[in-house]
Amino acid sequence: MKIKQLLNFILRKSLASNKVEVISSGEVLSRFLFNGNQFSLNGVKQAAFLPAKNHETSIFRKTKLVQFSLYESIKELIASERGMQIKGVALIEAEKIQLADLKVEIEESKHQWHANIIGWPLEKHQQKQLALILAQNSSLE
Amino acid sequence: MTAIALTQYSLLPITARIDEKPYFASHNTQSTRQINHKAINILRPIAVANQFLKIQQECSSEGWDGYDAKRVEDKILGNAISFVNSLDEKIPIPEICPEPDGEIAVEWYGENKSTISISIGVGDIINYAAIFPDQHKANGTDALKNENKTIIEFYIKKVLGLE
Repeated sequence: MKIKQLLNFILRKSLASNKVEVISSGEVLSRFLFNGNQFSLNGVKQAAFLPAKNHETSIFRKTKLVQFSLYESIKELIASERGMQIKGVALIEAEKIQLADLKVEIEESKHQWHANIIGWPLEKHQQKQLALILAQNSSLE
Repeated sequence: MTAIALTQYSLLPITARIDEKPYFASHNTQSTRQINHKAINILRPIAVANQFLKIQQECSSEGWDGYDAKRVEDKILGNAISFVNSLDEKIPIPEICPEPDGEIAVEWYGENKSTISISIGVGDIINYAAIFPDQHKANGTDALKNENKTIIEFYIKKVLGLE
């Protein structure tokens, strides 16, 4: 627990002066997958991008995390917090999300370089259509 | 059909039996082809149950996806089996995938990353979405027990290039 808190503190400290408010269209975003059924040899499945109960899909900004050499640290931190192993990572460019009429909103209340995919329709079949588009335009890390 | 009974069925070497193409190819008579179809029809619900049981075990608690996913209820099994078993026998067994709202999706994949995904839950409505090989799209809802599956089957076959 202390190690986790310390790692989070170091991450926040090191990133405090580098905060970026706008996500550029070319940024690569990571969706951490904790269940192996969310991808297969056919690639990332639409379920990997479907929104949670709060109608948001949690993602991390890989481009920025790699830029500051923090990507592997954040993966370890998130896995540690969840108490689960990351089984795969779906990668998608911010532009592809915007082209699907969804938005990427920075949300850093818990973690730096975290964002959410927002703007999901309420109907499940419409959500699935957009999630299919995201899955089609994503790749496995 | 109970989960216990299905667990017993899941011990059958399902994949091996369905994929025994060389055997059927070497006995390529009309009667053997009929047996082949019958064998697949009999095995289809067992194969679906086999996949489902694996997912049900892995997703039986809240938050199985590392976020806040609902648990996959075993009530869905009957719905999934009856749905898949009601499809045209030319349609192969789907991949099954859990979803954050606790439903499961049955999915087929085709050329050019085409996909059709159909969500099945405990209710009577299924939600589907598809991207076809020509990149046209379709989505909507249907009744789980709708006996006329013409549209859904057409979409699945279109993804698989069977139309």
